[in-house]
Amino acid sequence: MNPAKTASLVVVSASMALVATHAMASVAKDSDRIINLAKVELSPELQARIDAAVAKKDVKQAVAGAFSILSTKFGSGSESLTSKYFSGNDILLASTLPLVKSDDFTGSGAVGVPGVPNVTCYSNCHSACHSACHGSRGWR
Amino acid sequence: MTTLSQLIKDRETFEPSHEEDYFVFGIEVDTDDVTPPRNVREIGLIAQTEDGELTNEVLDVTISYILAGIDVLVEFPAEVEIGDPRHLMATAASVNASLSLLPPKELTDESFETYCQRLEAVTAAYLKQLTMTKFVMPVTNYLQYCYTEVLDAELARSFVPEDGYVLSRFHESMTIEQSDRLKARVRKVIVDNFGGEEGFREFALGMMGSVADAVESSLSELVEERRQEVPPAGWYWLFRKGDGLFSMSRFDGVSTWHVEQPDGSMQAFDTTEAGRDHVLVEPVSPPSTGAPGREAGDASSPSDSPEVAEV
Repeated sequence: MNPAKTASLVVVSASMALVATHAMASVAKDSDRIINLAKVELSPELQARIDAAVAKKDVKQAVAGAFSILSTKFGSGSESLTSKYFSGNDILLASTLPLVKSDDFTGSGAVGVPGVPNVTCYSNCHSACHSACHGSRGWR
Repeated sequence: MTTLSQLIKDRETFEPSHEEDYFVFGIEVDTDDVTPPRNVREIGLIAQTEDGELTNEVLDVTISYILAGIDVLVEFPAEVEIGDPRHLMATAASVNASLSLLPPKELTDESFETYCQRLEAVTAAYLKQLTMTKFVMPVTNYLQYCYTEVLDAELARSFVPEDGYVLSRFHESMTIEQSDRLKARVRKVIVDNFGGEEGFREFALGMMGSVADAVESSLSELVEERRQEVPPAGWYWLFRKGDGLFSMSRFDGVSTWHVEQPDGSMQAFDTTEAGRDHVLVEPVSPPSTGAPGREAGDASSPSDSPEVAEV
Protein backbone atom coordinates (compact mmCIF):
# COMPACT_ATOMS: atom_id res chain seq x y z
CA MET A 1 0.00 0.00 0.00
CA ASN A 2 1.37 3.43 -0.91
CA PRO A 3 1.28 5.54 2.30
CA ALA A 4 1.40 8.85 0.40
CA LYS A 5 -1.51 7.80 -1.77
CA THR A 6 -3.39 6.52 1.28
CA ALA A 7 -2.80 9.79 3.17
CA SER A 8 -4.27 11.77 0.31
CA LEU A 9 -7.45 9.69 0.58
CA VAL A 10 -7.82 10.02 4.35
CA VAL A 11 -10.94 11.88 5.41
CA VAL A 12 -10.67 13.70 8.75
CA SER A 13 -13.91 14.49 10.57
CA ALA A 14 -14.54 16.50 13.72
CA SER A 15 -15.76 13.25 15.25
CA MET A 16 -12.30 11.68 14.87
CA ALA A 17 -10.77 14.73 16.56
CA LEU A 18 -13.35 14.56 19.36
CA VAL A 19 -12.54 10.90 19.98
CA ALA A 20 -8.82 11.76 20.08
CA THR A 21 -9.51 14.51 22.62
CA HIS A 22 -11.47 12.09 24.79
CA ALA A 23 -8.62 9.57 24.61
CA MET A 24 -6.11 12.25 25.63
CA ALA A 25 -8.27 13.42 28.56
CA SER A 26 -8.85 9.87 29.68
CA VAL A 27 -5.15 8.96 29.61
CA ALA A 28 -4.19 12.27 31.25
CA LYS A 29 -6.63 11.66 34.06
CA ASP A 30 -4.92 8.38 34.95
CA SER A 31 -1.36 9.52 34.34
CA ASP A 32 0.99 10.52 37.14
CA ARG A 33 3.60 11.93 34.78
CA ILE A 34 3.85 14.52 32.02
CA ILE A 35 2.86 12.94 28.72
CA ASN A 36 5.18 13.72 25.82
CA LEU A 37 3.72 13.31 22.34
CA ALA A 38 6.14 12.06 19.71
CA LYS A 39 6.44 14.51 16.83
CA VAL A 40 5.50 13.17 13.42
CA GLU A 41 5.90 14.64 9.97
CA LEU A 42 2.67 14.21 8.07
CA SER A 43 2.06 15.44 4.57
CA PRO A 44 1.08 19.14 4.67
CA GLU A 45 -2.24 18.24 3.07
CA LEU A 46 -3.16 15.69 5.74
CA GLN A 47 -1.91 17.92 8.57
CA ALA A 48 -4.05 20.76 7.23
CA ARG A 49 -7.11 18.47 7.23
CA ILE A 50 -6.38 17.42 10.81
CA ASP A 51 -5.94 21.03 11.95
CA ALA A 52 -9.19 21.99 10.23
CA ALA A 53 -11.03 19.21 12.08
CA VAL A 54 -9.52 20.27 15.43
CA ALA A 55 -10.62 23.85 14.73
CA LYS A 56 -14.29 22.80 14.40
CA LYS A 57 -16.66 24.16 17.05
CA ASP A 58 -17.51 20.81 18.68
CA VAL A 59 -13.83 19.94 19.04
CA LYS A 60 -12.94 23.35 20.43
CA GLN A 61 -15.66 22.89 23.04
CA ALA A 62 -14.28 19.48 23.96
CA VAL A 63 -10.73 20.83 24.19
CA ALA A 64 -11.95 23.74 26.34
CA GLY A 65 -13.84 21.27 28.56
CA ALA A 66 -10.71 19.20 29.10
CA PHE A 67 -8.38 22.21 29.08
CA SER A 68 -7.28 21.92 32.68
CA ILE A 69 -6.35 18.24 32.55
CA LEU A 70 -4.74 18.50 29.11
CA SER A 71 -2.65 21.57 29.92
CA THR A 72 -1.32 20.12 33.15
CA LYS A 73 -0.60 16.59 31.93
CA PHE A 74 0.73 17.16 28.42
CA GLY A 75 4.03 18.88 27.82
CA SER A 76 7.65 18.44 27.02
CA GLY A 77 10.12 16.50 29.17
CA SER A 78 8.92 16.94 32.73
CA GLU A 79 7.43 20.37 32.11
CA SER A 80 3.68 20.66 31.56
CA LEU A 81 2.20 23.19 29.17
CA THR A 82 0.79 25.07 32.17
CA SER A 83 4.22 25.29 33.82
CA LYS A 84 5.73 26.47 30.57
CA TYR A 85 3.35 29.42 30.35
CA PHE A 86 2.63 30.20 34.00
CA SER A 87 6.04 29.92 35.63
CA GLY A 88 6.94 33.52 34.83
CA ASN A 89 6.44 36.01 37.65
CA ASP A 90 5.67 38.94 35.45
CA ILE A 91 2.19 37.70 34.64
CA LEU A 92 -0.77 39.59 35.98
CA LEU A 93 -2.45 36.40 37.08
CA ALA A 94 -5.71 36.96 38.89
CA SER A 95 -5.85 33.69 40.77
CA THR A 96 -9.47 34.12 41.69
CA LEU A 97 -10.54 34.30 38.06
CA PRO A 98 -11.46 31.11 36.20
CA LEU A 99 -8.86 30.09 33.66
CA VAL A 100 -11.40 29.89 30.89
CA LYS A 101 -14.10 32.51 30.81
CA SER A 102 -17.09 32.02 28.58
CA ASP A 103 -20.85 32.17 28.74
CA ASP A 104 -20.81 28.57 27.58
CA PHE A 105 -19.26 27.41 30.82
CA THR A 106 -21.39 26.49 33.77
CA GLY A 107 -20.49 26.73 37.40
CA SER A 108 -21.08 23.05 38.17
CA GLY A 109 -18.96 20.02 37.62
CA ALA A 110 -15.66 21.82 37.88
CA VAL A 111 -12.62 19.80 36.95
CA GLY A 112 -10.14 20.49 39.70
CA VAL A 113 -6.46 20.06 39.04
CA PRO A 114 -3.89 21.01 41.66
CA GLY A 115 -1.88 24.06 40.76
CA VAL A 116 -4.30 25.33 38.16
CA PRO A 117 -7.36 27.49 38.63
CA ASN A 118 -10.52 25.44 38.24
CA VAL A 119 -11.98 25.11 34.80
CA THR A 120 -15.72 24.83 34.78
CA CYS A 121 -17.60 22.41 32.60
CA TYR A 122 -19.09 23.32 29.30
CA SER A 123 -22.86 23.45 29.57
CA ASN A 124 -23.18 20.68 26.99
CA CYS A 125 -20.56 18.79 28.87
CA HIS A 126 -21.75 15.27 28.17
CA SER A 127 -20.55 15.29 24.61
CA ALA A 128 -18.03 18.07 24.87
CA CYS A 129 -15.79 16.90 27.67
CA HIS A 130 -17.27 13.62 28.76
CA SER A 131 -13.93 11.99 29.50
CA ALA A 132 -12.73 14.82 31.70
CA CYS A 133 -15.89 14.85 33.79
CA HIS A 134 -17.49 11.44 33.72
CA GLY A 135 -14.97 8.91 32.57
CA SER A 136 -13.98 7.23 29.37
CA ARG A 137 -16.33 5.75 26.82
CA GLY A 138 -13.48 3.80 25.31
CA TRP A 139 -14.01 0.10 24.66
CA ARG A 140 -11.21 -2.39 24.86
CA MET B 1 -37.97 -0.77 27.09
CA THR B 2 -39.63 2.55 27.94
CA THR B 3 -41.88 4.39 25.55
CA LEU B 4 -41.27 8.06 24.85
CA SER B 5 -44.80 9.05 25.88
CA GLN B 6 -44.27 7.31 29.23
CA LEU B 7 -40.88 8.99 29.69
CA ILE B 8 -42.34 12.44 28.98
CA LYS B 9 -45.09 11.76 31.53
CA ASP B 10 -42.71 10.37 34.17
CA ARG B 11 -40.32 13.27 33.81
CA GLU B 12 -43.03 15.82 34.57
CA THR B 13 -42.60 15.08 38.26
CA PHE B 14 -39.24 13.28 38.41
CA GLU B 15 -36.37 15.24 39.91
CA PRO B 16 -32.96 13.64 39.22
CA SER B 17 -30.80 13.01 42.24
CA HIS B 18 -27.81 11.46 40.48
CA GLU B 19 -25.83 12.49 37.43
CA GLU B 20 -26.85 9.26 35.67
CA ASP B 21 -30.52 10.21 36.00
CA TYR B 22 -30.08 12.74 33.21
CA PHE B 23 -29.20 10.02 30.69
CA VAL B 24 -31.89 7.68 29.37
CA PHE B 25 -31.50 4.99 26.76
CA GLY B 26 -33.61 2.39 24.98
CA ILE B 27 -36.58 4.71 24.44
CA GLU B 28 -39.18 3.64 21.90
CA VAL B 29 -40.69 6.50 19.90
CA ASP B 30 -44.47 6.00 20.12
CA THR B 31 -45.65 9.58 19.87
CA ASP B 32 -45.32 12.50 17.49
CA ASP B 33 -45.07 14.87 20.46
CA VAL B 34 -41.69 16.50 19.92
CA THR B 35 -41.66 18.38 23.24
CA PRO B 36 -38.49 17.20 25.01
CA PRO B 37 -38.89 15.48 28.38
CA ARG B 38 -37.68 17.45 31.40
CA ASN B 39 -34.27 16.83 32.95
CA VAL B 40 -32.78 14.79 30.13
CA ARG B 41 -29.35 15.58 28.71
CA GLU B 42 -28.82 12.53 26.53
CA ILE B 43 -31.44 10.18 25.18
CA GLY B 44 -31.12 6.90 23.32
CA LEU B 45 -33.98 6.48 20.85
CA ILE B 46 -34.62 3.03 19.39
CA ALA B 47 -34.37 3.27 15.61
CA GLN B 48 -37.32 2.40 13.42
CA THR B 49 -36.68 2.14 9.70
CA GLU B 50 -38.68 1.68 6.53
CA ASP B 51 -36.75 0.35 3.55
CA GLY B 52 -33.53 0.99 5.47
CA GLU B 53 -34.33 4.66 6.18
CA LEU B 54 -35.16 6.14 9.56
CA THR B 55 -38.88 6.82 9.89
CA ASN B 56 -40.11 10.39 9.97
CA GLU B 57 -41.32 9.90 13.55
CA VAL B 58 -37.84 9.02 14.81
CA LEU B 59 -36.18 11.72 12.70
CA ASP B 60 -38.62 14.43 13.85
CA VAL B 61 -38.04 13.62 17.51
CA THR B 62 -34.28 13.36 16.96
CA ILE B 63 -34.03 16.73 15.24
CA SER B 64 -36.33 18.48 17.72
CA TYR B 65 -34.42 17.20 20.73
CA ILE B 66 -31.03 18.06 19.26
CA LEU B 67 -32.24 21.57 18.52
CA ALA B 68 -33.41 21.73 22.14
CA GLY B 69 -29.86 20.93 23.29
CA ILE B 70 -30.28 17.24 24.10
CA ASP B 71 -27.69 14.75 22.82
CA VAL B 72 -29.46 12.05 20.84
CA LEU B 73 -28.15 8.56 20.31
CA VAL B 74 -30.13 6.60 17.72
CA GLU B 75 -29.89 2.97 18.78
CA PHE B 76 -30.11 0.24 16.17
CA PRO B 77 -31.01 -3.19 17.53
CA ALA B 78 -29.41 -5.92 15.41
CA GLU B 79 -32.74 -6.86 13.82
CA VAL B 80 -33.45 -3.32 12.55
CA GLU B 81 -32.35 -2.80 8.96
CA ILE B 82 -29.81 0.04 8.58
CA GLY B 83 -29.87 0.30 4.78
CA ASP B 84 -26.80 1.79 3.11
CA PRO B 85 -24.32 2.64 5.92
CA ARG B 86 -23.04 5.64 3.92
CA HIS B 87 -26.55 7.08 3.74
CA LEU B 88 -27.10 6.38 7.45
CA MET B 89 -23.84 8.14 8.29
CA ALA B 90 -24.75 11.14 6.14
CA THR B 91 -28.15 11.36 7.85
CA ALA B 92 -26.63 11.18 11.34
CA ALA B 93 -24.03 13.80 10.40
CA SER B 94 -26.62 16.16 8.96
CA VAL B 95 -28.72 16.16 12.15
CA ASN B 96 -25.77 15.93 14.61
CA ALA B 97 -26.93 12.64 16.09
CA SER B 98 -24.82 9.80 17.43
CA LEU B 99 -25.52 6.20 16.44
CA SER B 100 -25.27 2.98 18.37
CA LEU B 101 -25.20 -0.39 16.61
CA LEU B 102 -26.35 -2.86 19.22
CA PRO B 103 -25.28 -6.51 19.20
CA PRO B 104 -27.86 -9.27 18.69
CA LYS B 105 -29.69 -10.32 21.83
CA GLU B 106 -28.96 -13.94 21.04
CA LEU B 107 -25.46 -14.44 19.74
CA THR B 108 -25.19 -17.46 17.48
CA ASP B 109 -22.32 -18.00 15.05
CA GLU B 110 -24.54 -16.68 12.28
CA SER B 111 -25.89 -13.61 14.10
CA PHE B 112 -22.39 -12.76 15.36
CA GLU B 113 -20.97 -12.95 11.84
CA THR B 114 -23.79 -10.73 10.53
CA TYR B 115 -23.07 -8.23 13.32
CA CYS B 116 -19.33 -8.22 12.51
CA GLN B 117 -20.11 -7.51 8.86
CA ARG B 118 -22.50 -4.71 9.84
CA LEU B 119 -19.82 -3.07 12.00
CA GLU B 120 -17.18 -3.42 9.28
CA ALA B 121 -19.46 -1.64 6.80
CA VAL B 122 -20.41 1.04 9.34
CA THR B 123 -16.75 1.60 10.29
CA ALA B 124 -15.79 2.09 6.65
CA ALA B 125 -18.67 4.55 6.18
CA TYR B 126 -17.77 6.43 9.38
CA LEU B 127 -14.17 6.86 8.27
CA LYS B 128 -15.33 8.42 5.01
CA GLN B 129 -17.96 10.78 6.49
CA LEU B 130 -16.24 14.16 6.54
CA THR B 131 -19.11 15.99 8.26
CA MET B 132 -19.51 13.59 11.19
CA THR B 133 -19.38 15.50 14.46
CA LYS B 134 -20.75 12.88 16.85
CA PHE B 135 -20.16 9.25 17.72
CA VAL B 136 -20.87 5.84 16.27
CA MET B 137 -20.88 3.18 18.94
CA PRO B 138 -19.06 0.87 19.37
CA VAL B 139 -16.79 1.94 16.51
CA THR B 140 -15.70 5.28 18.00
CA ASN B 141 -15.35 3.67 21.42
CA TYR B 142 -12.86 1.25 19.93
CA LEU B 143 -11.20 4.05 17.94
CA GLN B 144 -10.71 5.85 21.27
CA TYR B 145 -8.95 2.76 22.57
CA CYS B 146 -6.73 2.73 19.46
CA TYR B 147 -5.72 6.34 20.17
CA THR B 148 -5.07 5.37 23.81
CA GLU B 149 -2.78 2.57 22.65
CA VAL B 150 -0.71 5.04 20.63
CA LEU B 151 -0.59 7.47 23.52
CA ASP B 152 0.35 5.04 26.28
CA ALA B 153 0.69 1.38 25.35
CA GLU B 154 1.24 0.36 28.95
CA LEU B 155 -1.88 2.12 30.19
CA ALA B 156 -3.85 0.70 27.27
CA ARG B 157 -3.01 -2.84 28.39
CA SER B 158 -4.74 -2.23 31.71
CA PHE B 159 -7.56 -0.18 30.20
CA VAL B 160 -11.01 -1.18 31.37
CA PRO B 161 -14.28 0.31 30.13
CA GLU B 162 -15.96 2.35 32.83
CA ASP B 163 -18.91 3.96 31.09
CA GLY B 164 -22.22 2.37 32.06
CA TYR B 165 -23.59 2.38 28.52
CA VAL B 166 -20.49 0.73 27.05
CA LEU B 167 -20.47 -1.86 29.81
CA SER B 168 -24.13 -2.81 29.57
CA ARG B 169 -24.64 -2.61 25.81
CA PHE B 170 -21.36 -4.01 24.49
CA HIS B 171 -18.87 -5.24 27.08
CA GLU B 172 -21.30 -7.50 28.90
CA SER B 173 -23.26 -8.53 25.82
CA MET B 174 -20.67 -10.93 24.46
CA THR B 175 -17.83 -13.14 25.57
CA ILE B 176 -14.29 -11.79 25.70
CA GLU B 177 -13.38 -14.05 22.81
CA GLN B 178 -16.24 -12.70 20.67
CA SER B 179 -15.40 -9.17 21.70
CA ASP B 180 -11.75 -9.66 20.69
CA ARG B 181 -12.73 -11.13 17.31
CA LEU B 182 -15.13 -8.26 16.66
CA LYS B 183 -12.57 -5.61 17.58
CA ALA B 184 -9.92 -7.28 15.42
CA ARG B 185 -12.23 -6.92 12.43
CA VAL B 186 -13.08 -3.29 13.20
CA ARG B 187 -9.39 -2.60 13.76
CA LYS B 188 -8.50 -4.00 10.35
CA VAL B 189 -10.93 -1.59 8.67
CA ILE B 190 -9.49 1.33 10.69
CA VAL B 191 -5.80 0.62 10.07
CA ASP B 192 -6.35 -0.25 6.39
CA ASN B 193 -7.97 3.16 5.99
CA PHE B 194 -4.69 4.77 7.09
CA GLY B 195 -2.40 2.48 5.10
CA GLY B 196 -1.55 0.07 7.93
CA GLU B 197 -0.64 0.14 11.63
CA GLU B 198 2.21 2.63 11.16
CA GLY B 199 0.00 4.87 9.04
CA PHE B 200 -2.65 4.90 11.77
CA ARG B 201 -0.02 5.55 14.45
CA GLU B 202 1.30 8.56 12.56
CA PHE B 203 -2.20 9.87 11.92
CA ALA B 204 -3.12 9.46 15.61
CA LEU B 205 0.03 11.27 16.74
CA GLY B 206 -0.63 14.04 14.22
CA MET B 207 -4.20 14.38 15.45
CA MET B 208 -3.31 14.40 19.15
CA GLY B 209 -0.40 16.74 18.46
CA SER B 210 -2.83 19.14 16.83
CA VAL B 211 -5.11 18.97 19.89
CA ALA B 212 -2.09 19.65 22.15
CA ASP B 213 -1.13 22.56 19.90
CA ALA B 214 -4.65 23.96 20.30
CA VAL B 215 -4.27 23.78 24.09
CA GLU B 216 -0.87 25.46 23.91
CA SER B 217 -2.20 28.16 21.63
CA SER B 218 -5.03 28.91 24.09
CA LEU B 219 -2.55 29.07 26.97
CA SER B 220 -0.35 31.43 25.02
CA GLU B 221 -3.32 33.71 24.23
CA LEU B 222 -4.41 33.59 27.85
CA VAL B 223 -1.00 34.62 29.11
CA GLU B 224 -0.89 37.45 26.61
CA GLU B 225 -4.33 38.63 27.73
CA ARG B 226 -3.20 38.55 31.34
CA ARG B 227 -0.08 40.51 30.48
CA GLN B 228 -2.32 43.20 29.08
CA GLU B 229 -4.56 43.29 32.14
CA VAL B 230 -2.85 46.34 33.57
CA PRO B 231 -4.60 47.71 36.65
CA PRO B 232 -5.53 51.38 36.66
CA ALA B 233 -3.18 53.90 38.21
CA GLY B 234 -3.70 54.19 41.95
CA TRP B 235 -2.78 52.87 45.36
CA TYR B 236 -2.76 49.15 46.13
CA TRP B 237 -2.00 46.82 48.98
CA LEU B 238 0.79 44.42 48.02
CA PHE B 239 1.67 41.25 49.92
CA ARG B 240 5.42 40.80 50.05
CA LYS B 241 6.18 37.11 49.52
CA GLY B 242 9.58 37.23 51.23
CA ASP B 243 8.53 38.34 54.72
CA GLY B 244 4.74 38.14 54.69
CA LEU B 245 4.30 41.88 55.15
CA PHE B 246 1.67 44.02 53.50
CA SER B 247 2.99 47.13 51.79
CA MET B 248 1.32 50.12 50.22
CA SER B 249 2.22 50.75 46.63
CA ARG B 250 1.43 53.42 44.10
CA PHE B 251 1.13 52.25 40.51
CA ASP B 252 1.54 54.77 37.68
CA GLY B 253 -0.89 52.88 35.43
CA VAL B 254 1.88 52.00 32.99
CA SER B 255 4.73 49.93 34.36
CA THR B 256 6.15 51.42 37.54
CA TRP B 257 5.24 50.46 41.11
CA HIS B 258 6.45 52.65 43.98
CA VAL B 259 6.53 50.19 46.84
CA GLU B 260 6.74 51.26 50.45
CA GLN B 261 9.81 49.89 52.23
CA PRO B 262 10.14 48.89 55.92
CA ASP B 263 11.91 52.19 56.62
CA GLY B 264 8.97 54.14 55.18
CA SER B 265 10.69 55.13 51.94
CA MET B 266 9.16 54.38 48.54
CA GLN B 267 11.18 52.38 46.04
CA ALA B 268 10.39 52.10 42.32
CA PHE B 269 10.09 48.74 40.57
CA ASP B 270 8.89 47.85 37.13
CA THR B 271 5.96 45.42 36.87
CA THR B 272 8.16 42.38 36.20
CA GLU B 273 10.36 43.10 39.19
CA ALA B 274 7.47 43.99 41.48
CA GLY B 275 5.58 40.85 40.43
CA ARG B 276 8.49 38.62 41.30
CA ASP B 277 8.34 39.56 44.97
CA HIS B 278 4.75 40.67 45.56
CA VAL B 279 1.15 39.64 45.19
CA LEU B 280 -1.40 42.35 44.45
CA VAL B 281 -4.12 42.28 47.09
CA GLU B 282 -6.59 45.08 46.51
CA PRO B 283 -6.91 48.79 45.72
CA VAL B 284 -6.73 51.13 48.67
CA SER B 285 -7.45 54.80 49.30
CA PRO B 286 -4.35 56.98 49.08
CA PRO B 287 -2.61 57.26 52.46
CA SER B 288 -2.26 60.65 54.10
CA THR B 289 1.29 59.86 55.17
CA GLY B 290 3.75 57.07 54.59
CA ALA B 291 3.47 54.16 57.00
CA PRO B 292 5.81 51.26 57.75
CA GLY B 293 5.15 47.71 56.47
CA ARG B 294 2.52 45.73 58.31
CA GLU B 295 2.46 42.11 59.36
CA ALA B 296 -0.04 39.86 57.64
CA GLY B 297 -3.19 39.73 59.76
CA ASP B 298 -2.49 43.10 61.32
CA ALA B 299 -5.64 45.07 62.13
CA SER B 300 -4.61 47.71 59.66
CA SER B 301 -3.96 45.28 56.84
CA PRO B 302 -6.26 44.72 53.87
CA SER B 303 -9.85 43.49 54.17
CA ASP B 304 -10.65 39.92 55.25
CA SER B 305 -11.35 38.35 51.87
CA PRO B 306 -9.09 40.15 49.48
CA GLU B 307 -8.93 39.31 45.83
CA VAL B 308 -5.34 38.27 45.35
CA ALA B 309 -3.49 38.59 42.10
CA GLU B 310 0.12 38.23 41.13
CA VAL B 311 1.48 41.63 40.21
